Amino acid sequence: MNPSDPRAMQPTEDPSAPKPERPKVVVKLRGQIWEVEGNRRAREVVRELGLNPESYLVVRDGELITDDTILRPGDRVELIAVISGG
Amino acid sequence: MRCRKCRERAVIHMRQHKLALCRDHYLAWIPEQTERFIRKYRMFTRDEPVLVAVSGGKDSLALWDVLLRLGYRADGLYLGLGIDGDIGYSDASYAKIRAFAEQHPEARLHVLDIRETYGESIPELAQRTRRGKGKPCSVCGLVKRHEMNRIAHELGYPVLATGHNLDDEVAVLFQNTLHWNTGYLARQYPVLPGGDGFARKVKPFCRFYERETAAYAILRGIDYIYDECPYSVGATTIYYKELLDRLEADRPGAKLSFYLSFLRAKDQDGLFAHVQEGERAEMHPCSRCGQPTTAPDLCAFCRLWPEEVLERPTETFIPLTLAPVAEPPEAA
Ligand code: SF4
Ligand SMILES: [Zn+2]
Ligand SMILES: [Zn+2]
Repeated sequence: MNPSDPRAMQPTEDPSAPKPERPKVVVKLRGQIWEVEGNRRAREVVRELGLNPESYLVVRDGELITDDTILRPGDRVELIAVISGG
Repeated sequence: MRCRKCRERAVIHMRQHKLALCRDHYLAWIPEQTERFIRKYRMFTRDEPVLVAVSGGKDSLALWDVLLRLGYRADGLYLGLGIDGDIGYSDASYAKIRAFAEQHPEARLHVLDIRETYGESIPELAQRTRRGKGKPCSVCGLVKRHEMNRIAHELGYPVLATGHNLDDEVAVLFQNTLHWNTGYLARQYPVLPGGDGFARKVKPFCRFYERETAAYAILRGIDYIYDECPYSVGATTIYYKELLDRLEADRPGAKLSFYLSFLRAKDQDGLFAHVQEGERAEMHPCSRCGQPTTAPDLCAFCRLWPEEVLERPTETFIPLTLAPVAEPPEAA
């Protein structure tokens, strides 16, 4: 998956099609937003975005969480990249 | 996951230690461990003023915070590199550092702007000199090292601390091992002795993973610069860090063990000791600034600048001191 295109993850707007009602987990990283399926551990969500859970911290509602935490539909989380260069 | 100490909700799980901690226990654990490393590697004592090189990033601000919490006499040094990269990188970094310093009236902040002092910013200097062609990182590293040494010396700090974490150390170790760069391998250690009036160099965070220093900064509410220096894009260090994190994900503790077994081989088996001896023998003071160099006459820093720049009165090279403080540190 290409994490540079967040829209690829979102359902397209089509009023005629019945929309899936299940809310998603909203993931933010460096100003980009993804929507992914919930009811999974944070580390699985990070992996799905093509990222290594080792290199990111997960913050939910302003609180740091461990990567075995189950993310529920409707949760909003932010990923903090920890690798810095130079 | 629950905190090992109190069973509250854990905020971090450190697989390499098989240790999960809650917020409060984590915020206590980091300074305790830092203190342990400071003693173990005999970095400094509470009588010695420490100059912390701060970049505005998570590691250096977290280090300054921890040293102050532990009651060390820790002051900050910021070098203004004049890097913009459309994100105002240097200005933004400086703003974070000032904000931190303002919350810590017990510490002082020394600031030196490279362009104001030498007439050129790092990118401008890189443009002009052969060494900097392409990427400014080589001149930038050289200037930072030289200026930190010089300023610690001139302000009388016997100890210079940097925020290098384990991931920084392991990335460098990996790179130097790939090239069997024995000179660098011989010098890599949590503490480098000073001498001839130059400060001892210490890395009190060298055994913390990068995610741990980031977690500490976040939990302490330290506002650090999250953007990277624009010139770090594509840096080999980042590539090695990503590679090593893949290894770590499959084998928790791989990074820590790589680093610790390297240190053990040096301590117990004298690995690279003869290389270091040889290198030390080749060092002599630069004929202008006095810093140790292997070059025949002027050191690499002094060769960067035209004579008229370096011949200015000495006072013009002294950094500006900000933030209120009681007394200046004692001379080393
Ligand atoms: S990335 Fe390069 S130019 Fe930027 S601060 Fe680091 S060494 Fe200097
Ligand atoms: Zn606890
Ligand atoms: Zn010199």
